[in-house]
Amino acid sequence: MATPTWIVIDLSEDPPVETERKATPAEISAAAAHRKAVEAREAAPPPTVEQRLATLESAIQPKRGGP
Amino acid sequence: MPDVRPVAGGDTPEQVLAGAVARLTADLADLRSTVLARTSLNPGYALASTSPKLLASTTSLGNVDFTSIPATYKHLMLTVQGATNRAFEYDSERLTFNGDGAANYEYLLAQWTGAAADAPVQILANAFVEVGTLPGSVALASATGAINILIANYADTNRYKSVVVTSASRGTSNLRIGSVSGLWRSTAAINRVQLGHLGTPVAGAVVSLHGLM
Repeated sequence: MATPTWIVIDLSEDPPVETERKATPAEISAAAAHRKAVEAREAAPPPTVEQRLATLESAIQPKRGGP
Repeated sequence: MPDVRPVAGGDTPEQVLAGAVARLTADLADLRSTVLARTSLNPGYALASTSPKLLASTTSLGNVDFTSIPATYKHLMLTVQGATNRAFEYDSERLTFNGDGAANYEYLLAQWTGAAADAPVQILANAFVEVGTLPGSVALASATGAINILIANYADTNRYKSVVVTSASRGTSNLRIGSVSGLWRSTAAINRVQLGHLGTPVAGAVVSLHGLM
């Protein structure tokens, strides 16, 4: 669960002033998108050795028609 | 300009000239010392002129929003150290600028543990930049991680802004290291930096912003 709290540090003051505020709807949406992306990666199984080899092989294939 | 007028007592022109040459030589030696002390030829001056200046630091436990960042410096360095209560092995951190939550960010995230390399993540239109991980609550007890973010030429108004990130973390049974190449597609000068977590930092976390000359 994302924390709804933001620590705001205003550098226009000397020394900087620290306050707290709640997240805006846009920030809550960004946190949700962030969580969704990370959880999708965490749920995905790691690539197999064969998949890694295939990726490497495709990366080192000589390009046809190139210089 | 050296004083070359004859002094009372009737110095010869040769004596006046010799005195002027001596004073000029001394002045040049002083000037040389000053220049050496104030240029990169002197390692001490180079260090002093590039040492990070701490702009602000917090141990408060939440997402962090640095506002009204002055355009005084050449680069910014954001450093995060700590762990969070997210009930996973790792927590992920995200970065935004100037309150921009639109899909104006790009990044390539590459991470490795002692066991394997994660598949690289490249996103060319996103609402934030993922900048790496800190330990979550399933990681080794008392473990911390660190993320160092360089925001290059942040006050530039001609081109987009690049970030370079190095992160180090500790999971359940492995160390993890990460690198990020990030871009904010905006020519606006950065005056606000926001760092968000998925979980809540636990006591001991520190977020610091430095300015680099």
